[in-house]
Amino acid sequence: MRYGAGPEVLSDVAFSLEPGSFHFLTGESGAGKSTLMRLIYLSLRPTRGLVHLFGRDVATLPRDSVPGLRRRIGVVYQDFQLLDHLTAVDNVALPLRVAGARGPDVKKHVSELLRWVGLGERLGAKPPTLSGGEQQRVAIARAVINRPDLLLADEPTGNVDDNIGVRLIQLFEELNRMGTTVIIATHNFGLVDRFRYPRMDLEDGALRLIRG
Amino acid sequence: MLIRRQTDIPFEQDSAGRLLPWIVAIMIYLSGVAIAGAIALNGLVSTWSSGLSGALTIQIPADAETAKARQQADAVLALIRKTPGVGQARRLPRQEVLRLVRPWLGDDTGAGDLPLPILIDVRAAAGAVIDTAVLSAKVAAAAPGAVTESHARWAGRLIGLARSIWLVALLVVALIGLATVLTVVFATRTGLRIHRRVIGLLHLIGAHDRYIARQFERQALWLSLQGAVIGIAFAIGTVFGIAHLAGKIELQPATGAIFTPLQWGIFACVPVVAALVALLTARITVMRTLRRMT
Repeated sequence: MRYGAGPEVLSDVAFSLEPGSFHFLTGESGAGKSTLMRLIYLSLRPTRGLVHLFGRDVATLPRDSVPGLRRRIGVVYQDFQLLDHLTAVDNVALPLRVAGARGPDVKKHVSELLRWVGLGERLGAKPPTLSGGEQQRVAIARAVINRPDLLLADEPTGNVDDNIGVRLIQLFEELNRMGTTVIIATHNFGLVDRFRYPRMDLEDGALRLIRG
Repeated sequence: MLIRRQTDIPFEQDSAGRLLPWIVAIMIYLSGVAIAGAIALNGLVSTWSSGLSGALTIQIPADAETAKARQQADAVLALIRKTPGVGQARRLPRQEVLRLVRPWLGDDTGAGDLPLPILIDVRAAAGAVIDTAVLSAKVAAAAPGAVTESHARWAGRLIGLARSIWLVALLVVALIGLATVLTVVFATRTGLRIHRRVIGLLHLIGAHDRYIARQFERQALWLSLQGAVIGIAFAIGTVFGIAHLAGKIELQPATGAIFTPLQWGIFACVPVVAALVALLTARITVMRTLRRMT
């Protein structure tokens, strides 16, 4: 994978994820973690090589089929990507609305999840009024609200203290126990060591699998 | 934007969107006035058409207001009444002829002393046609110097002119409609550029192009409807104002009677049609642009 005429960011990457598995994705800054994540959540198409997602080759995927696959993937972006004009509840409800869900149950379900991540008092707050950690938890709630088959989290614990970080990983574990495949890109080796899940390590464009 | 709506896309940050209702209001105002003019003109054309077709005026010269001229007028009247197709013929009383010349000569000119022509008003029977050429020859034989004037020729020219103005009014409405469509296309494309990041995020969350297009089309519908209601309200105000002035010079009955209920209905449909056109324009623009974007 390369951007334009630049150097190849990812060159030797071959892996397959079992449904229901849990992996950490590690590597130096600039190693290509975000690029790999973007390839998986269909934000980028590979310049060479193959990406198969849920049994389908993304290169030959018709345009109309892409949203269906994306709805099966929850993503926690490093920069959160929250919509500043919407409240925390509306931000988290976005994947449900996009999928066509409506009605009071949506708000109730979203409110419960936000309470679970410790934002019960901030339901009506808009992102610019939330701290970095609070925004991150809203972003996580949005990624998991529709129980995705695959959860990708890019530095999900970067802006929260260790206690909240542990709690968030436990939330991912809970989803994982319900069948969601989880990949967490992180620099936080404390968490990686604590939870001891298999690790995919990127270095010089190559990916190496390290058992937890 | 006049009134805000909660949407996934932050349209309130969109400067093109803020201007759209006012642009649409101006367009709809102009369309409304043009349509009102076309409807009113159509009504006038119908009135003229029905009032003047089959009508003739026979004029016996002004210097002939003598016993001889009166005899000629009686002879012409008798002749006309025997002519096939004539429904009604009457000699206009002198007071009525005076009233006809008053707008040109005024009240205080002593017009009463002027030698006025004898006028005979002839109307065809319902569904009948009078052969003007034959009648004119007979009238000339009975009253040398008399002039037979068919209103149909004059009315035909007037109606032709009125219809041309009516077509121009429709063309103006069509051009205003096109300008509105282009404005919505521009505003929508600008919105797509401004909200590119949010649209990208919605796509990544799993939104179909149709979901995004729906947001833009509802926004276009909402903004256009606001502008169109304002525009048509001002257009109705203008129409009533003009009707009031027209009523003062007895050109048309004042206010309400200028349009039939059906015509008012057509007028009221203008904002709805404008809003629906804006909706469809936004939908097509978004769908086509998104297909090119990714």
